[in-house]
Amino acid sequence: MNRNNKLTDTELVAKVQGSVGDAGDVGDYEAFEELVKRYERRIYGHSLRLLGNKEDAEDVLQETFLNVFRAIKNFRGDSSFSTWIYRIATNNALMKLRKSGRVEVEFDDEFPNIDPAKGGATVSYIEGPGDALIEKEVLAELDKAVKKLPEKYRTIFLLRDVEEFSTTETAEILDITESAVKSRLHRARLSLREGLSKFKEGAVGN
Amino acid sequence: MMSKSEMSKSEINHCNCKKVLELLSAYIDSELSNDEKRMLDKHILQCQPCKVYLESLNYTVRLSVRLEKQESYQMPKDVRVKLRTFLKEKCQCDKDEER
Ligand SMILES: [Zn+2]
Repeated sequence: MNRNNKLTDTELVAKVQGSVGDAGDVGDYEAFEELVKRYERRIYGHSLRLLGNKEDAEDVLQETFLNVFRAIKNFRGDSSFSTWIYRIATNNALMKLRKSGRVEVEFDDEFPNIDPAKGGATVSYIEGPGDALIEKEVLAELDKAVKKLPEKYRTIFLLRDVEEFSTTETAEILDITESAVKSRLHRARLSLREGLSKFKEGAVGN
Repeated sequence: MMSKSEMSKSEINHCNCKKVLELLSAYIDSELSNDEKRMLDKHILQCQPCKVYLESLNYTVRLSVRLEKQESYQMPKDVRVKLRTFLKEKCQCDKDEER
């Protein structure tokens, strides 16, 4: 009789916290397992995109859910469970990244010298359902460009454009201002667009 | 250098392109004020390079979400199994300590 999958995150959290159902201090482990089931795939993918290494991503996945289990009693629900767990996971991943010393925080250049009027924008892409093979190629190129983004920008890009968190949620997850989210996201997108600029009209696949 | 009023008079003014470029993400995310949006819509209508630039940036953003489902980022089955074992063990220890 598993009715947990019908519950909202908030209801599950309440069950784990032990404030609902059986009176007891340890809470409901099955409810916790349902939260694991709901988020493990996303947390693993997010960690892997941040870290670029499967073993590290697995470590972060395990640490994150253990952190969640241990801290869930203090979770007040000021933010959603989803932003809360992403906050924990992102922090864990960034800590790992910094420890490993493979961090590039800033772009080399202050701002790319892009001037659409000077032909910097002559790139256009094949739109629509298009050729699946070409799309796959472009996606792989995008993936490469994302890996090259400095950490500060990559993190925001991944939360906003890949995980589809709102500006407000992303600011909450990273504990920075919304305007910082917006400006870094814009900078990241411009850089990624440049990264795809080899796919000029007609030049794709060559 | 042109004054602001002179700039708004000229129909196709590439001096605005830089400003437009700065606003493109906010445009895509519908975060612009009405005035800014109107300025941008007007500019895009008249400036082909900016129009193409917006399209390509928009394409980049729409493509990005597909990284979420990309195969190379999917969680392998053994990672799932190991996570279950890890958590059962650790969380059980926590419970035992509480008693
Ligand atoms: Zn323009």
